[in-house]
Amino acid sequence: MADPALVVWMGQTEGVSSLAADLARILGENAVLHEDAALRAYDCDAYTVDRSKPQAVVLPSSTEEVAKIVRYCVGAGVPYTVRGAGTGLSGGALAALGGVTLSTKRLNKILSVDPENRRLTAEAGVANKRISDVVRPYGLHFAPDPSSQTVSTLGGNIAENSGGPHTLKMGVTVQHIHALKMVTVDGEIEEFALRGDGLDFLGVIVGSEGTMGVVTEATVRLTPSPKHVITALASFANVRDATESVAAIIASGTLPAALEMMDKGVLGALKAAFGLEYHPAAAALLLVECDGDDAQAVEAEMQAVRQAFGRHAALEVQIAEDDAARAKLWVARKKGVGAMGRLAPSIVTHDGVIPRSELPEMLEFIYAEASAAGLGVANLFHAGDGNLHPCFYFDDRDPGQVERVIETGERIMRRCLELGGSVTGEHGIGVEKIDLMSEMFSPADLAVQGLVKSIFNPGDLCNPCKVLPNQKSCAEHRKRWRGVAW
Amino acid sequence: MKSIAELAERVRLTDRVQTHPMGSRFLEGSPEAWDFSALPTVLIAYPADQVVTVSTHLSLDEIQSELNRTGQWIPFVPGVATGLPDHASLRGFLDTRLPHPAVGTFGSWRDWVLGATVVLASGEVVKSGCRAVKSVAGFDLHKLVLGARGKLGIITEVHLRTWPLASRVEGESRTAPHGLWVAQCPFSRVDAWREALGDRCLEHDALSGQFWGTGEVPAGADWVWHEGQPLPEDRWTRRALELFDPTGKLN
Ligand SMILES: Cc1cc2nc3c(=O)[nH]c(=O)nc-3n(C[C@H](O)[C@H](O)[C@H](O)COP(=O)(O)OP(=O)(O)OC[C@H]3O[C@@H](n4cnc5c(N)ncnc54)[C@H](O)[C@@H]3O)c2cc1C
Repeated sequence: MADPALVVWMGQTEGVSSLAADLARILGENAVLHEDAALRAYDCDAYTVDRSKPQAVVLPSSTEEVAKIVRYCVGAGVPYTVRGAGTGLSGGALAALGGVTLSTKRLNKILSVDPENRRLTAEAGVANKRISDVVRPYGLHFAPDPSSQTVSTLGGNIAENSGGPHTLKMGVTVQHIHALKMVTVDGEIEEFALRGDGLDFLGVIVGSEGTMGVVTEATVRLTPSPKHVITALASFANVRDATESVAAIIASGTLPAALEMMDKGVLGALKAAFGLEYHPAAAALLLVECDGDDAQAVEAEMQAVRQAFGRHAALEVQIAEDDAARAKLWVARKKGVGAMGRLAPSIVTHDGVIPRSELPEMLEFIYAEASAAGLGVANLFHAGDGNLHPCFYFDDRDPGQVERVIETGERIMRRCLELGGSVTGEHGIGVEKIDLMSEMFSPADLAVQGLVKSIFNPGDLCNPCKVLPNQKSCAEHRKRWRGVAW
Repeated sequence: MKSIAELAERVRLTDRVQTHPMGSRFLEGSPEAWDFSALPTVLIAYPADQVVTVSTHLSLDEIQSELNRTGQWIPFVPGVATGLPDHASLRGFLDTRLPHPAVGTFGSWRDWVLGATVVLASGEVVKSGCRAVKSVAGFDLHKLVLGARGKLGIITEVHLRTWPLASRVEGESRTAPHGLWVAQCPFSRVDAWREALGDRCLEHDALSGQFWGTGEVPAGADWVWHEGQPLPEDRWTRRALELFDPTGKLN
């Protein structure tokens, strides 16, 4: 039996079983989960600090079924939250006020592939990488490549406006969505497409963290895969040389396809976890990829990159021109996160953005803060667009350490804001960063964001308590989500 | 008007605001259009970040020449496509989300605007986005106001992405004929469109599939944008207008 306090909608306690029964009547028994063990599996996403169970999970198989569920929830006053693969890192898919979690697991069909027009239409639950896999024979790919791409879904990528190593040059998800189908908060099915003649609703819905409706299908823009790719991995004896190389590459006007950085913390983790060894004197690595259809232009770009490396005392530069060699250079980047996970009982990865010329100063700030707090830190991040991911490792059984991790994270976020940046570059606000919104924006700024949201969602049932602070009933229930884990 | 605060106060007190960018045929010109020329001017280039923070009452011309001195440019390529005179204010380009023929190479306004300061119909001054090239914090007012014909608020300042001058593409600014349209053509129809349009095709960007033409638009466009056309009247546009400007005072 669920804790009666969890049944926050409508204030009724017997609602739990009747809710599941109602949902089963609409979609059939096998599309509804309501056993406690199942609900517990849905109580958080990859941000595990805050947890809140839904009262039921539904697994619709079509847009029409989604619309039926939304209409039911609206009629019954039940909050609902969409969930893709649950890899979100800010608690976006958390069922903050309980209610229904609407999983897109069965919305997993690729509906049409149109290589000639470079478009593909898929349901929202399709994993990101499946799209690129399907269109590879046509020499095309789906450009957004979050590190979670083997599992994270198209719907989740749209909701978070996800990026990845190759979005430096190609742009984030919003630049690659041609149209989408959404079940609105009144249960209608609407389509929104990229257009030049009216308001850019598509641009607003992408990145709205599931608060404006349930995306059920999207038509994505496919990108021709470049004919020529050159990858370089450079090692540096100190971090400042690496960060200044990044600034020099950007300032030279070269826009690499990817420009990623890994520091000593990551290298140590790679060695401890996988026995991977890099230059013994290396304090930082930069991974740079240049691509394009014109071999000479790609070559010239890489030349500019190598000049920047040379001027900033690179210890060693490895170059890869074929896929096998390239895969080797990417190992550090791809395995880094997993390696860090093995270093300590817990890790927490922050996400902040600064104007990219501030990187040298910002990294020094991060190290100083970590050392003042007595915390280990590793940095593996999208250096080219100034998107930091400082990762702290700590022991979550020690409340003192936990507190220091949180405080240090907040100081880093504030520094990002002071430098003209943002509190999130790709993980979103969710519930995690809701307090930081008031530091980044004024009350008037937040009020107008509330207006933007209310174009599509004037109510409080569709993914409540996310993104904007001070929503109805959220403050009192927050105490319940917090502290379950830590 | 000598400050944004003064502009905001005037917006708050009045029941009619006319902010058509000067010289634009895209928004029917109006002699009563407010004069923003005395507002303080902000133009801070951050060449190392490839970003500029700039007042929107400056003309694109002025902004480009200042930027050029720092080795940067905004990759808006003039051509027959623009129709807006180069001395029109940046706000004119933003209010129309004006297409340009190098969109396939550089993207366009929705890709370049990273943040904005907007004076709302209520007279409040709000900010959205930031100066970094990537941010997913909050709901993006700075995307919604682009192309809104000034009807959701007055954009007074923006953070824009810039590009190194080395990438500059020369364009020739030509006066657009009356009846100009811009349309997005799916790649599979490009050849048919070329044939159907003949010399009514004034410009075509092969990388994006966008066409500029006059007369009848061939079938199968993703969208068509006609010179001077008002905002579409769909349900969502109506809702946005009601929420942002309940008394209909803006433009
Ligand atoms: C190991 C790891 C690496 C990661 N790397 C990256 C990275 O490189 N770049 C990056 O940007 N992110 C990264 N992330 C974060 C995460 O993977 C992305 O945010 C991803 O897009 C979330 O997709 P999901 O399907 O898991 O969504 P979920 O976590 O299930 O949901 C995320 C949000 O999207 C909403 N949502 C989901 N589906 C829909 C839908 N159909 N309609 C409307 N709203 C919906 C949810 O309500 C929620 O608010 C990483 C996460 C992990 C765990």
